[in-house]
Amino acid sequence: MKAHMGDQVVVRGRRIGEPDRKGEVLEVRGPDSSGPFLVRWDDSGHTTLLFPGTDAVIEHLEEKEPA
Amino acid sequence: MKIEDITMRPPVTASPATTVSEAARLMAAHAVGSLVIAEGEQLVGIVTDRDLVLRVLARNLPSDTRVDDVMSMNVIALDAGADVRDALRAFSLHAVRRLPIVDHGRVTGLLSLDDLVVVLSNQLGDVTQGLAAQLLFPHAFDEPSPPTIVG
Repeated sequence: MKAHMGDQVVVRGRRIGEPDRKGEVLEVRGPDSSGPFLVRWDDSGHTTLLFPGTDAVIEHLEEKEPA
Repeated sequence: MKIEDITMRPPVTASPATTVSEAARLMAAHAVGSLVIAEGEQLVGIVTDRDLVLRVLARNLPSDTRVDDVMSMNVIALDAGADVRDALRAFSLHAVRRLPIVDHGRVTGLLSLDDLVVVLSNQLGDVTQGLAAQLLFPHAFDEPSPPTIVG
């Protein structure tokens, strides 16, 4: 899973009714743009390291920009 | 207080291909309740004794089920240089009970909520001792000490 600074990471809720968590990738700590990522979470504004699982989704910066 | 100042045991790691029965035996052998699942140097998940109960035993999964089928992914971790307040916030906001501690990309420790509560309660105990002394012997703190005459 590759990401770049400014991308958005989405971690799906694990249980029914649990919302997805979204955050901005502030740093890429792994080799070849892979995790772990330093993420600032949208819901709390705090920052943690995330070792993304296979179910995490990276929304790249250019995908969010209007065509 | 920095997280790295808290004494932690090194994490017990296993590969994703480890079976759940091997994982249980590893936990028993090392007297731990969780394993860090790593592929080479890369952390890919955490599996706990609770996962083995709820995701394996309760579902009657076979004992040769791979541990990566039942582990928790998207692991939240903290840098070794992070503050204890960061850890408290992470425990609270992510509803987890264990946080891997990472130093230069390598997992060097596993901080459990229990570990942190013990450390903080010990600190609180030190403060309480001072307060208790003031409550028990209030006048001992009223009079300033007489000046010491030197020479």
